[in-house]
Amino acid sequence: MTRVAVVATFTADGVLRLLRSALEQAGIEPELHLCPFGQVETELTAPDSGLARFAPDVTLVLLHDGAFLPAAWDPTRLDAVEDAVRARLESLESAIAGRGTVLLHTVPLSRVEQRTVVSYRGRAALGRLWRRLNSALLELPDRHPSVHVLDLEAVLVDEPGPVRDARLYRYASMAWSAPAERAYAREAAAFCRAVAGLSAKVLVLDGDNTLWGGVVGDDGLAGIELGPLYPGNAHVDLQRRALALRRQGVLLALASKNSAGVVDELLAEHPGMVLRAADFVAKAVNWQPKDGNLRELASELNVGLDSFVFADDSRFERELVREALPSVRVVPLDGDPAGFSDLVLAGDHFAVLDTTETDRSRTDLYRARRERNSSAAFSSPEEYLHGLELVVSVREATRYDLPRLVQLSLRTNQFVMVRGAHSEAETQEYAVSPDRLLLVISVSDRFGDEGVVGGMWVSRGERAWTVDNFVLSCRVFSRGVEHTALQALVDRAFAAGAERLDAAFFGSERNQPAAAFYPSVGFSTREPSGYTLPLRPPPVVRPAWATLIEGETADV
Amino acid sequence: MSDVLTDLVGLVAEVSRTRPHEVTGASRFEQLAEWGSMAALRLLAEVEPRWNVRLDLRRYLATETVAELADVIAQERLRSA
Repeated sequence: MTRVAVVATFTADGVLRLLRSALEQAGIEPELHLCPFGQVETELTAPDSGLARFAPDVTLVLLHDGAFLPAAWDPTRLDAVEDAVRARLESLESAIAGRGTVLLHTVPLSRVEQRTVVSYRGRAALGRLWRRLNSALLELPDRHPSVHVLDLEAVLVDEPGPVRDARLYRYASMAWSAPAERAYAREAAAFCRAVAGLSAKVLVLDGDNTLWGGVVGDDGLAGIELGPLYPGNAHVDLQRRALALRRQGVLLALASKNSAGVVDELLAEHPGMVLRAADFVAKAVNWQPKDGNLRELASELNVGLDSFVFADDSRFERELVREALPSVRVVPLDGDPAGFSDLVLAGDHFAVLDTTETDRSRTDLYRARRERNSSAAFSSPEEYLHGLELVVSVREATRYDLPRLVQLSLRTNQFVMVRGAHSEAETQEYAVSPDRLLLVISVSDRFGDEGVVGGMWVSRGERAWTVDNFVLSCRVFSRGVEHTALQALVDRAFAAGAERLDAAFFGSERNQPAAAFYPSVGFSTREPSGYTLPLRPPPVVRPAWATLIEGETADV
Repeated sequence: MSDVLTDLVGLVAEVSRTRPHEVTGASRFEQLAEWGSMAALRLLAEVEPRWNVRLDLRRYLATETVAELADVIAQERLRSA
């Protein structure tokens, strides 16, 4: 469940209703709260406001042009208008600072305001003034890590009809027309999905009549549509979009009913292909039903099927997957291939709050991991793990680690002790506070460097240290990394004179792998919740096959 | 019942969260459960795209029964046709 608050400069009852259904569609069971309108700053800052008592996970701040533009603005005195606009923005900025996860948006200027200026030169000046406001809004996330801004002005370009229905505005102070309300609700729901860590991670693409036009097995390499001319250029564009997703951390997989040899040749040799073999984390090119291929892929990658998006032109394949795997999000590529790129991106399934360095190489990391799993030339798992040359490094977080740690705590579903425990602002607090400790875990082995794969959020007490959260990417757990990292913490706590190590745990449907961890290394259950481990004598939890490197950097 | 009235009764029931058989052309808006200015505007947002009309808000808010509103919609359709 996600608690979503709406605080608006206008009557937003209509938005609230649309938001509820958009959130439910996005798989979120929302608890919604609407603040009385026109009291944005008071609601945000007063400690006993309805908003503060509601304690939202996400606060949506809805703004309209009338909140910035004085009612009696003088088109011959735009400098005074700009002062008023800036003053409102400043008051808004100080109100949102430190209020948890907040979504603002750029503000469309309704046409009647624009037409009020008669000279083209004057309209240009008003346009610049208004864009400066919107630019300033878009810059807020640079100064406030948990503030995000939706570019609503850009979104509305594609919506039918005006943003303002003057009847509703004059009668009920509703600033948005029904289409504008719908567009906002859709975008805000996608944002809440990203906040809740429900973004899709894998895009599975069909081959024939999807990535290229025609059937490569029948038409041959030279006969498919893929190149600078229509309709081949529509398929090229879809590939470009997929590549752009891959570069931002989305894993691509190919699910094609073909002979593997033909598709390998196509990927290697066709001059029109934008995507090459190395862009795909996995290829299922065979004659098996696609639902089985997807299921296998999910288990190989260790990613839940609810993180999968499946795009196919064939209604048969889509229905098969929809029936067999209802949690997979299915994108129907119907009609003209020129629309395919839009269809894949329309649902905004891959929207995330931020991308990091790791996203750029995620495909390689997962490919290396699959090779690791398939190198089965060892007689026992122990022997295999010894052969891995696993090196685990544990060090204190710097400010450069914060986005990655927050992202990990959002993306990780399986090895996470308390889901959604800490926002970016709270995580930063762990990095700087003297009685807190934020540890970063990185891993490398003979197949490559995995980079930052986990973190531990720790409170340091005199007698007991507490692991408030422990997160590890599902790419690496069950290899002894979690044991080795915990050893580093045990050593630190023991050296600091702590008598025991406590650990918080909050069970959910998804984090069962994490549930088993603490008891398996000797922790006992603690009342009312969580686990505890005595530190006298110092316990050994590290497995024999891993090397631990400790760093002490703390230049936050 | 006119075409408009048949569909309108369903919409009014939906917006006012009343059971469909409890709404008729003679139903008065102000006597419906959960009726108010926000419900009236929700109904307007359903009605206008459905019949492709744009109503004068003063006249819309002055209608007292469902049948009366159906007439207003039908007239506006004729006028703009």
